[in-house]
Amino acid sequence: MSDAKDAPGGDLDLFAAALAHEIRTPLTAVAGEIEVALRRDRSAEEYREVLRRIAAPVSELVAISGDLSLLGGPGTRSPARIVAASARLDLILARVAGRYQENGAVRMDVDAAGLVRVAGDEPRLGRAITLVVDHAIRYRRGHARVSLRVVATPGEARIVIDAQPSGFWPHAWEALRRPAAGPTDPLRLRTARRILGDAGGALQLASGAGADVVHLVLPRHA
Amino acid sequence: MRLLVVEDEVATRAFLERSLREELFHVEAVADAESAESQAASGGFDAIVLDVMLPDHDGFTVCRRLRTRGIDTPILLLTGRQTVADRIRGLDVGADDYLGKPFAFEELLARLRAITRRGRSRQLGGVLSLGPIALDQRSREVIVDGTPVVLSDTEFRLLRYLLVRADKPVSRLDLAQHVWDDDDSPGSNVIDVYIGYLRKRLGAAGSLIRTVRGVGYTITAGRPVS
Repeated sequence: MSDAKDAPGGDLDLFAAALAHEIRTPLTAVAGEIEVALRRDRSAEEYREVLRRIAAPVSELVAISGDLSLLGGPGTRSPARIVAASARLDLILARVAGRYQENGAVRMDVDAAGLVRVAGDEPRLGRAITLVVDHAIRYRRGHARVSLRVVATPGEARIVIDAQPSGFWPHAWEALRRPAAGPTDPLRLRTARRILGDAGGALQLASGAGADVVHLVLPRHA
Repeated sequence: MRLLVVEDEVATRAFLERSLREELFHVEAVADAESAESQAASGGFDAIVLDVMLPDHDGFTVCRRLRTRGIDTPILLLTGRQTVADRIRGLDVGADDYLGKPFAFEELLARLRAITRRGRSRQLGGVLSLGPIALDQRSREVIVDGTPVVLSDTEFRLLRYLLVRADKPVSRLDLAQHVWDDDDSPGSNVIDVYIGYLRKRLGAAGSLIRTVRGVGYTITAGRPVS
């Protein structure tokens, strides 16, 4: 008999359904833009504009495929590897900030990171932070501004994410209320959890002033 | 035609807005369920394109709430969830149709035509016709007595809206909202000016557009509406 996880309605089915949804979203924009562009003759500049527009959802599809490789691949939890990898948090945050430079929805307190070194490799940690911020933007209430600030102690660095003034929708971080990732969790949170977990850190939900606050916990590099 | 597009994903929302406008729809787009309910309740939409996965409440809930409030605007659910159970649930909460992502834009247009024409027997496929006038919504061609007539975008929208409501008086406010996407100026003479243009373009068939005193206009092949 096959593994229960592969049975109809099992974890694998649920994960596949959630994944299909994640892929369909950017695919809808790509397929739609192409179909509409070809419906009538357009100028070269209009075609260029279409290509510029589909670049973002195509990048998203590429990133999803990278996330899947990460989730499907072996973990890198070996303490030796974590100790070996060192990342400068200020550089990671500066790169993440670049992505949201023209997005008024995000405020980042990057300077506070200083020269903090954390365990893990920079591209992956950057991806984890981006995934959580993207999720925060999607699930902020109204026009709340998503804010990131860094709190560093000798043992760890925390990136604290909240949304002001109206916070997040109550179910936004439902997946983080469970101790372990589940098959229906949003792919972006599942991936972020995995990246942080591999680096010995965690994605945690806390409450502040009656609203949810998310902490990305990153162990300081020895 | 005025459409309310409810889609939280930025790239998809922008694509829908732009592409539907290119098809001469008036599009209002919002990103969450609360805004959708408030916009839909304000009325004036010919159809709602509603994504199921929204950040605050799901599209099924929005659909059920709108129907409970007596809002019967045709709703096309748009979703990446395509199980039979999802489709049944969507239709059971009062949606008129269900389209899975990714979709062909042409199919979206066809489904919008289908849900907006229900109960409007004058529409056949994408063609609206009345007497000698035939308006093809897909190709945007207007034929009068077998001869193509070239209309501006505004004239086309005006004729389409009148034909969709053929034989019924259409108020100036309705025209302002659905043809010009303007809630504020039903008293403006812009409507009268364009009715004049349209009558002229349609030649003898222009007489089918009649003034309904104190209300607005109608297009009818029958006796004048009093």
